[in-house]
Order: sequence, then C-alpha cells, then structure tokens
Amino acid sequence: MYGRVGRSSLLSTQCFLGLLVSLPLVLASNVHDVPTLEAYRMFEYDDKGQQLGSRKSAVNMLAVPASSSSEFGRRVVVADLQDLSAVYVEKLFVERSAGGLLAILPKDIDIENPEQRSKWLEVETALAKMRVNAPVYFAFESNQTQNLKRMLEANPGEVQLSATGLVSPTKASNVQGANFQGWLPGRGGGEESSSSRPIIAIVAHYDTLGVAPELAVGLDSNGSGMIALLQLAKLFSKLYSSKRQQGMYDIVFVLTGAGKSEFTGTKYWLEHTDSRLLDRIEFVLCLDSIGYGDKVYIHTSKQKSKDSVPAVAKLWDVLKSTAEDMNIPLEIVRKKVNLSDFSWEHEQFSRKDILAVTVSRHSTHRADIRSSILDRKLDVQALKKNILFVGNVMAKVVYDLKKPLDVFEGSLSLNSAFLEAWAQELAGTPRMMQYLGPDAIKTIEKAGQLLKEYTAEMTRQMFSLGQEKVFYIGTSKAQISVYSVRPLSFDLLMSLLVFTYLVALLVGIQGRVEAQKTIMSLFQGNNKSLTEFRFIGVPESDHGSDV
Amino acid sequence: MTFLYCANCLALTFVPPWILYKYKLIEFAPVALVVQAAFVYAGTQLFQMILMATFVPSADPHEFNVSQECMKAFITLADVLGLHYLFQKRSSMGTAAGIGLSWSATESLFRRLVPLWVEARSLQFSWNHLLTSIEANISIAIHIAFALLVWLWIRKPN
Repeated sequence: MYGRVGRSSLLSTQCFLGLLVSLPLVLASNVHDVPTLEAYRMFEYDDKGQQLGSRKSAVNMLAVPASSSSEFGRRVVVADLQDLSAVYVEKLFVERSAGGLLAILPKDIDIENPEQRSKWLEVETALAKMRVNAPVYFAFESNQTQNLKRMLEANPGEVQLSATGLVSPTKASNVQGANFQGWLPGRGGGEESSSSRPIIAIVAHYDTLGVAPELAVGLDSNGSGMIALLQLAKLFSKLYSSKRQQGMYDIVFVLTGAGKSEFTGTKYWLEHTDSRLLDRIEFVLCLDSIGYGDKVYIHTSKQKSKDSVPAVAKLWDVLKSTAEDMNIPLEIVRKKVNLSDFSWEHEQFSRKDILAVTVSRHSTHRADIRSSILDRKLDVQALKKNILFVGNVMAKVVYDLKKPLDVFEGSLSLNSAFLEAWAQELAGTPRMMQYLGPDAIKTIEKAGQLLKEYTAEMTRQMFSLGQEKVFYIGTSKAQISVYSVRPLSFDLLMSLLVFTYLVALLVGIQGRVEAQKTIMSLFQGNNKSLTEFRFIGVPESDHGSDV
Repeated sequence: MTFLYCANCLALTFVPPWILYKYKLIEFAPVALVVQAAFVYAGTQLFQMILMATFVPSADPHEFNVSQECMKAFITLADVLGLHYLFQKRSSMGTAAGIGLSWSATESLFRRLVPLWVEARSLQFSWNHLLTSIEANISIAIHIAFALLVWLWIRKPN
C-alpha cells in the first residue's frame, strides 16, 4: 500500500511540474491589453538660474476632462485645443493647481486653419515661459486619444493615466554643437587662405526649437534654410566645376548650430574663423524660414542713412532688381541689433560690422511659429522659388550680370526630388540642440558630408553651448497607458458583499448559532483560536484545505 | 486600490472551499486524502492534456468537427477514471464530497490563483476577475456534484 502511494505521488510531482510549465501559456492568452498613447513631454530648463518649463515628469493620476468643474488637484487635465488658451493654462496651474496636463492637438493643425494655429501659438508661447510644477504632455489626435476621450465621457473619474519607464530628467551641461563650413573657390582657384577674391557667404542654422523637444522638427525654421543652403551649394558646385563658369567671387556656405540659442554657433564661427576670410566677405545672406509664402522680406540692421555706402547700395540694388525680374514682392525690414537678444542670424554679423541680411518669409522676428512644434511642413514650390531668388541674387553678383536670369535652367534647374527628400528626412528628425538624438546627429552629419562633396574644402567646427540656459534631458517621448479603474468605494462595497456571502455560507453550513460562535472566535483574538486548534490536533487543516 | 480588489477576488475564490472543508467536511476527509486527491486531479488533468494533444489535432477553436468534439468529450471522461481510483480505498458520501471539494480547490489553485494575483493587481479594472472568482464558487458545486454522482454509480453494484 505504502509503495503504491509513494509511486503515485512521485508521478504526480511530475504532473505538477508539467502544469506549472503550461501555466504561462494559459496566462498569456488572458492578459488584457491596456490602450497606450504616445505623448511628448514638455521641456524643462533653467534660464539664468530661473526654473522654467514643466518641472515634473511622472504621471500616475486620474484623468479629468478640461471642461469638468470638479477638483483638478492630483488629476491630469485632458484638454483639446479648443479648451486651451494662454489664460486658461495660467489658471489651470496657478488657481486650480492641476496635477498635470495632457494637451491633445489636431493632427493637421499647421496650415489648415490659421485661427487654430494662432491660438496654439499663443498657448505654446505662454507655456514655454511659465514655470509649471506639474507634468505637461502633448499628443496628436489618434484612435487612442479618441478612445481616451470616450472613456472620460462615459466614466469620468474612472480613467487613470500612467506613464511607465520614464527616465528622470537630468541637467544637460556642456552641450556640444557643430558648424560646417564649405568653401568654393572662384576663378583662379588656389588655397582658401591665399585667395584674395571677395566672398559671398550663405548661412543657415539647422537646429530647431519647440515646447516639446521630440516634436521640434522645425521644417520651415530652419529646415527650409538648411535645404536651401545645400541646394545652392549643389548648384554652384556644378557651375564652378568648369573653369569657364567660375565667377570672380569665392562662395562660403556655413551651416551653423545653436541658431535657436542666440545664434551661438554663428558667434563661435565668427570668433574662430580667420579674420582674413572675414575681411573678404562682401555680404552675407542668412536664410531663415523660406519654405512658404509669396513675399520675401529682407531683414537688416543697417540704418537708412547707410544706404549710400556703395556695397550696401549694390546689395539693395541686386536684391530689388532680382525680385523685380522674378516678380517677387520684396520688402526691406530694418531693426536695430539688441545685443542681449539676437533675433536674426545676420545680427551676429552686423555686430562684427559685416554686411549681412536675413532672407525670410516672416515680416517680423516676432513670428512665434519659428519656435513652435507646429512647424512641421513646408511648401516645396515656394521653397524652390525662394532658392531660385537667392541663387539668382548670387549669380548676378558673381557673374556681374545685368539682365536676363537664365542661369538656373536646363541641367542646372532645381531638383524637386532633392528638396522633397530632404524635407521628408528633416520632418522625421527633431533637432533641438540640447536634445539631439543619434538620428538627428546622423542627418546633420549627412548634410555636412554633402557640403564636403559640393565644395572644395569643408571644415567642421565643434563648440560648446553657453550655460545660461540649461535644459533637462529625460524621456521626451513617453508611452502613457490608459487604465480604466474603479473608485475605492467600489472596492469597499465589493468587500462587504464578499464578506456577507462568506458569512451566509457559514450560516448555511453551521446554522445561525454555531456560525455566530465561530465568527466571534475568529474576531476575538486569533492566537487563542490557533492554540485551540493545536490542542485539538489538526494543525494542518489550514494548509490542507488550500491545496 | 487595486490591491483591495485583488484581495476581494482571492477571498471569494479561496475562502469558500476553506469554510466548507473546515466546518463541514473535515471529519469525513482527512488532510492526507485531500492532498492525495489534489495530486490525482493534477495527474488526471495532465493525462487529459496529453490525450487532447494526441487525438485532437485541430488547434482552431472556431472550426467545428464532429469527430473531434466527440473525442474531446470522451477524453473528459478521464475524470471518472481519476475519481474511480480514489474511491477504491474509501467510500463514504462525505469522503466523495471532500474529494470533489479538493478537486475544485486544486483547479482554482492552478487556473485562477496566478491570473488573479498577476492581473487583478494591475491598474486596469476588469469584471473578468470577479467573474473568475464567482466561477470558482460554481465550480465547487459542480465538482462535488460530479464526485457524488460517480460515487453513487460505483456504489450501486454493492
């Protein structure tokens, strides 16, 4: 008898093991999928010691719709664009001390609806200058966000948002940037340092700015300038490749970093470039936001009184006549340089007394779209026209042309495919200087390599960004899970029901009087009842019944 | 308060068998027998799994195949074999009920404990866990009834 039992229990042990192994399979099919949405965290930075931006990142809170009048404390407010305004945002965090904000933006917000756009820009600008002591996330409309809104509508107070796997933000000190400079020699060739020809410089910065670093792709500002610079380098490298077509000018293309940080890269380039080269610069064309629009604005810091200076007069004349020939409305915008706040790239050159202008579609430097996460598209046709304008201006100077502008035709005509490919690549690479990821660095290096290919000499300059503005780097793109939860009252009610059921069961088995005694003994000192059992001699009963 | 929800579900699943055993069936079915019954249950289930894997090749649950369904039903009868083995030694009605209870408790242990522990503690609320726990209670009745039925059937010839 004994032997038999032993054998069977040995067999059963194997069975148990088998069941344990099969258990995960059973589990895997049962796990519920929790809807997850992709959200982008707002930046966080110290500006001269002042703490700004969203100072918290962790989200594990109940969600509440923006329209709700209930308590916002320790709740994530889920807001649509129409709910938001600069005043609302201020009120949200200051008066109602909301626990967090999840702003859901329409998918195609940028050009479709100018009203929406200006509204969002107002909100974004307000947010960027605020100190928010709560997590702020942005998401674009999707099935998941719609699902979230539906859940909030159906069961307000029973939806919990939770972001997992967040990396806590740390100060990004000593951020490195790079400038790329390509030199294209004019007639006579030779070394860069020994040349004595005048220089035309084309400058554009490649970095971007936006309230959510992971969304700051800045296609117009300054993806368009970057693409234009590459395209112009390509065109002029073709032109200059045959000796007969080389102009009397050298052309320098400079792709600068940290343009959104007071043009630190440009400043560094000016400080660390041979002064003999700088002295030869006749004028500088900075390209910023030229991916849209029919009108071209020339921003300068030259006073009207300087217009009679020959070099200035010549530049104005070339710009105006080219615009006239191409039928592009052109306006010259004058603004004094503010040394504590550089708003255009040419101002760095003006400070060094180099004749420089910025070509842009914006009439004023106060165009908030230049530092917005909405800057995600550009119009290739408009960009093409603007590149052609700059190209024609350069050609006119380089070849000293008087009239017909037929340089960029035939084999030298602009290649839309090139522009589109770059636009597409840049649209996928957020390029905020402090948050440059490996992909963005690869793209920028690629642009640098292209510049190397198109020019005779390419130099790459590394520099450090200043410490006045320090950004915090953590998780910029988070996965937020949307849980449907029940309030505590539900759990308590359920506990009550379960307890009632168990008591009823006991009463059913033992009868009312006995059951009452049993329950009393359970509540009156566990120890006593335990020792009682031990004396009775059924110590295993507790464990045995569980198996 | 998801932990409370989990605790509720676990209590609803595992306390009823404990109450039943401790206050009703303990005198008929000693612990050793209950443990043995649990092992036999596990063995029977494994045996059934092996038979299923061998004789019911179609993995598609939506496909209806008469011969396969028959085979499945037939394989389920292996439970009877397991009970038959257990009843060989002892056979009183209380013992049979104790064995049935042991089987349902073992089933809850294997099929419900881990899913409840893992999932009911997650933030995501789902009625399924509560349903699982209620199902456990129904399964107690079913298992005891089945065990008693088999016991009656075996006992008849005597």
